[in-house]
Order: sequence, then structure tokens, then C-alpha cells
Amino acid sequence: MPSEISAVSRRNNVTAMGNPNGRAIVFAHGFGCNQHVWRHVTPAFLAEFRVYLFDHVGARGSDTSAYNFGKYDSLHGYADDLLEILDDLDVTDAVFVGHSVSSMVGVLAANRDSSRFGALVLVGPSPRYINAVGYEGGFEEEDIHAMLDDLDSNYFGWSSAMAPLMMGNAEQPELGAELTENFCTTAPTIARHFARVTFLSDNREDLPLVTTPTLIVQCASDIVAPAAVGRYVHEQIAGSTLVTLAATGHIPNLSAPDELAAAILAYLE
Amino acid sequence: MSEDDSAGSQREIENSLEHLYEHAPCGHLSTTVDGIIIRVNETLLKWTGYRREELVGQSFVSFLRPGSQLLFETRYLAVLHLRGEATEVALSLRRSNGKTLPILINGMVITDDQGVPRAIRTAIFDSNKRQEYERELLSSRRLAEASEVRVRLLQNASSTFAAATTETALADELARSTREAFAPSKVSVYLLNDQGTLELASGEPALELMQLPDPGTAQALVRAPHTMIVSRADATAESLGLTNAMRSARVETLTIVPLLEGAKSLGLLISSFGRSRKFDATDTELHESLARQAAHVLTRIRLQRQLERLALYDQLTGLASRRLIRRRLADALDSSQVHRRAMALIFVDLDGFKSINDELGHIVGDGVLNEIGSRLSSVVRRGDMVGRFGGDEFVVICEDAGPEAVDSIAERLHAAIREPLTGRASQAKVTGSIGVAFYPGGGQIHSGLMLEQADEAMYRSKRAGKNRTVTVTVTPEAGQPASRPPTD
Repeated sequence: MPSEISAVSRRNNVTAMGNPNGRAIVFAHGFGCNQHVWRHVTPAFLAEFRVYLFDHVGARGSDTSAYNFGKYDSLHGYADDLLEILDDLDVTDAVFVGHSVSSMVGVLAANRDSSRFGALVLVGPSPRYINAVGYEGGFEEEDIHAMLDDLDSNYFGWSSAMAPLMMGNAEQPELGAELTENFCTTAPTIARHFARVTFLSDNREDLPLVTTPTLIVQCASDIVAPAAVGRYVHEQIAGSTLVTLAATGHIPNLSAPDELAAAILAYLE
Repeated sequence: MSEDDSAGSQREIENSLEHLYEHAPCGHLSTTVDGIIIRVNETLLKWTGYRREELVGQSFVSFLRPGSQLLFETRYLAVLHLRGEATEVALSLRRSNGKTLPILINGMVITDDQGVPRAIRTAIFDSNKRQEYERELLSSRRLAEASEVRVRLLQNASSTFAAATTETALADELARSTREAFAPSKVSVYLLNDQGTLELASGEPALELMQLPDPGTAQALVRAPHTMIVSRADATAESLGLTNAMRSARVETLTIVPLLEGAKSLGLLISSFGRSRKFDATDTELHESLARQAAHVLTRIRLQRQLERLALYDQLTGLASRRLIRRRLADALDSSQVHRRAMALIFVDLDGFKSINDELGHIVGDGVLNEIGSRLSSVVRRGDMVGRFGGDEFVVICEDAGPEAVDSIAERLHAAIREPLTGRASQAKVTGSIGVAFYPGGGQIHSGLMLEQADEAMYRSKRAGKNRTVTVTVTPEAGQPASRPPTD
């Protein structure tokens, strides 16, 4: 057990659990929350795997002072961090499980240096959310701007409602509820920037470059990453496996954790 | 209707849970954990214009506006699942007539006895008025913030740029302001040097712009008098030969802004972005304002440097001026004292120069001074400094030089001066009277004393018949400097 926490671990709030001698599996959260979105998925892996979780810089739990708008203006900044985390953990043959935008972060990192990756699991991936000629991402650019407006409206509304919680009032009776609420609390400027980077990026050209064995997990009716996008990712990554869950929506890690865990385990066996 | 009847029907209505549900003052719907609508109330049907059978069996998220769908799926549901409830979330619903209904929703996960989630109940409030008002507030706040940010950036830039005294400091400030304004993954400030080539003054190299297969690209960019925004997929990137370089540097968008002073470009401000970025006219204007301010200050810094050069170098011969000689002499003495190394100050006065000026005129005289100045420079050692002290007086500062080295330098100076002159002065004869102040090192000597002693030695060599060298050794202990007889 290392007695000192490394700078990278502190920055990305890296946590480890499970079988110390097991194969490494790293879970990365998507836009909107932090590593706690995996809480119902990880138990299925603890016996066999060394399970690592982390928070992207900017998310609750990470060192938000490390948030640099230039670095995180593209997914490459997050891919840099992921490679640093893997180096820091000194893992090989690692399984990387990325949800939503993090699936693309995994693709970028594995393309740059595949040496630490044994498998990529892309949960609800989309290389581009905006429709383009010959490509159906599911959204128009104005939809993304409307989403940013909605995001602002919510922060606007929360400014009074959320203030007492964010101040960390010690008298708060509902401590559990407060903590849960805070998992998904992000500074408005960072949330807005991360949303922009997530939903305005185009990483289609990175898919054919993937050489790491890849599992694509798609939900039955996911509006954020529709079936056509899942098929596109599958077609672009040679040798990839596409599994469609019975679960619907975009967050199977929360809505159908058992089914998701079973699908990942079945692929890795 | 009697009062009794009225009270009776009031009781009837308020005792009916179904009525309370269907006609509640808010919309209500229940969904499966997966989000499929299983029940809706009348109020919601009335607000949205849908028939019950159009909603039941469909997923709730499919009735949201696309932007709201993203927020709903990525943020709202995460909070709902983790916390069991989520309150006051602002979204936009699509009505049956295609119009948008802004709503606020509260959601709650309903669990069974074992704590297993079974359904989600959602209360929906019409927030048309409120959201309209908030959107207006938001958009004016955004506008105000954006313009405040621009003003603050430009004000900061103007004060930090003005405080810069070197090109590097200025370039650093320009890079910093640009990072703050546009959050590029990389900023590069290139300045054109005196040779007309671009040099990286701050930031990181942009692509391998200077190592591109066609080096003309960089120069073409410099000559472009306007801002260029290049996307990797663009024809511009292709025509500039940048596509591959951008790809390998993971750059999707490049902005290239010339540092313009009038119509002249002094350099380039290049920002590299890791994702495809769009810039509106206001962004471009801000970019250009930063570049323009930097160009003004750069011009000022260069003028100052030029002025300083003018003061330090003699305009006729290009040799060190009296000011630079004094500065260098003081430094040389300090270093000589610390390292206990000998040094010498050689004073040269031309013999026979006055008659050239008188007989052939000042223009010819100036030519002779120029010619002799460059001859002197060519015969001293590397590192010796030759300066023009005034009129036909030259000095040479020789650091780290023992007596033999100084004698040999003096000999070479004599020979260089004696060489026949060229042009209209070719018939004239010029020699040099040389005085050397030799300092063996150790002890403190003022540069004024060295100059005085060298000048004095030179006069003694003149009085002794010119075209010779008189050397005095200057030591702090000796009251009178020891002198050696003139040699010719």
C-alpha cells in the first residue's frame, strides 16, 4: 500500500478496490456526474478484478483548481489525464470502461499509447452528436445550444435553492442526501465548458485507428446515442463487438447496472 | 342550486382521490424505471394538447426538446437515480401543436418494500412566464458578462503590455491574454527578426510550422495582412499544406492573427485549438485588438532599443561610443580586480589627421576615420573593444592581457594606421600616437583614472615625437604610476 498519494491520484481522485492481484479495470464517468455513477456496477467486479475509479478534473471530487480551460477545451486533455493515471497506476492489459463522452476519451488515449490497454468497453459512445452529411448523430447544432441554455437556466434556478447545500451547512440534517446531490454538483462555468466540449466534439476519424479489442454497449432506445450511432461505431472499429442491452436510456450504469455488468463480464471471459 | 347541494358536491369532489389526481394544479405522470409513461393526469393532457393514448406507452424523454433530452439523460436522471429525487429542473416540453412548453419538474423514485425501484413519479409545473423572464435575464447577463470580460481583458492587456520592456516579456503577456480570452490548447507568438524570419518569442511552436515541407507557408502567413481562421477540413488548410501537420499535432482549428503596425506585419499570433471552434465577429475583433495593442508596444520597444543603440554606438564608424566605452571599462576593471587578471586601456590619437580635414574637407576626413576605425577593429583580439572617443581619438579595451600581449596589440595598431590610405586621401600620411594604461589586476582602480592615465601617456608619446607608444602601469598602491620609455 503506497503511503503517499501521488499528484495524479489526488488531481483525479483515483480510488482502488477489489482483488489486489486481479486484472485492472478502470471505470470513467461521463458528463453530468462523477465516479459514483458506477457504484452499482463495480460490486460485480470486486472478486476478480482490481477496480479503479476516478473523477475527471472539474467533476466533484477532483482537484478543480487543476481545471485549465485550454487543456480541457478538447477531449485530448482528458485523454492526457487518463494516460497519466494508467502510468501512475503502472497497470498493463487494463480494461477501460468509459461511459458516454469518456468512451471517446478512452479511444483517444488508447490510440495514442495502446501499451497499457487490454480492452476498451464503450458504454453509449457517440463520436459526434451533431448530424453531418452522411452521418446521423441525432442532434442539430442548435439543439446543443438549447441544451447549454437549459443548463444555464438550471444553474440560474439553483442559485438560491442550491446555495445552502453548497455552503456545506453543518446543521443539515440530510447529510446523505446532501452528499448525493453534491456528486453531481459542478461549478457552472466548468459544467458549461465540459458540455460544449462533450457535445460539440467530432472524433469520427479516431475510430478506425483503434487497435485495442473493443466492446460497444448500446441501450435499446437511447436518445443521446441512438442505435444508428452504435452501429456506426461498431462498423468503424474493426473487430469490435456490439452488444445491445434490453435497458433503455443513456445511463445503464444507474438504470440497469446488473445487465451492464453481466455484458462486460461476458465479453471479458 | 341549494347551499346543501353545493357543499355536498364540494365534498364529493374533494373526497375523490381520482379527481384530486386528474385535476391537480400541476401536471403529473408516472413512468417505469426505464422512463416509459404508464399514467398521466388530465392537467398535463390539457397543457400539452396530447390525448392520453398518445402519451401512455411512450418514453417521456421523447416528448422533450432535443436540448432538454441531453440534459435530462445526462444530468437529471443521474441525480434522480443517485438521490431518489430531483427537484426544480428546468426543461422544455414539445406540445402536440409543435410549440414549446417550458416546464419545471420534480421527480421521485418509488421503491417497493425491498427498496427496489419500481416507478418514477414526476410533477410538472408550467414555467412559461418564469422561464421567459429568466431566459431574458440570462441572455442579458451573458451579454453583459461577455462584454465585461472583453473590456477587462483589453484593459489588462493595455496595462501589462505597456509595462513590458523587452520583446519576450511583451510576447509572454500577449500569449497570456490570448489564453485567457480563448482557451486555446496552445498559443505561439512569432516575431519577425532583423533578418526577416519568424522567431518564436513566446509559447509553444505552432504545429511544425517552421519545418513544413514548404517553408514558404510560414512566410506566406506573415505576409497575409488579415486574420485567418483555418479549420482542418477547410480548403484553406489544404492550400496552405497544413492539413497533415494539423492532423498530427491534433489541431482542429488554427487562428492566425498578424501583429500589424499600420500595414506592416511585425509577427504572428497563432492559437491552436484541439477541437473545431467557431469565432464570431466580436471574437475576431478581440483577437485583433490584442494583436494590435501588442504591435504598438513592440514598435515602441524596438524604437527604444534603436535609440539606445544610437547612444551606445558612434554613428560615423559604428564603433562603441564614449558612453559604451565608459560602461565597458568599468565592467572590465571590476572583473579584472575580482579575477586578479591584467588588462589595458589603449588610447590612440591620429598624427596628421588635422591636415586631411583642413585640406581635403570633412567628407574625406570622415572617410579616413571610418577606414581607420575598421582597420583597428580588424587587428585587435577577439573580445577587445574598439571605440571612438571623439574626433580622431580611438580607444581599445583589452581584457585579460599581459604586458607582451598589450605591446603586440599596440604594434599591430601602429601598422594598421600606417597602411597607405585609399581614395582622395591616398597621398596623405597618417600615423598614431599611442598611450597605454596598464592595470596588472588586484586593488581598486576607478575607470576615470585609467582614462586619464591613458590620455596622459598618449600626450607623452606625441611630445616624444609621435608614431610611438608610451605605457604607464596603474596600480592603486603607487602614488605615481610607473612609466616605461616610449618605443617607436
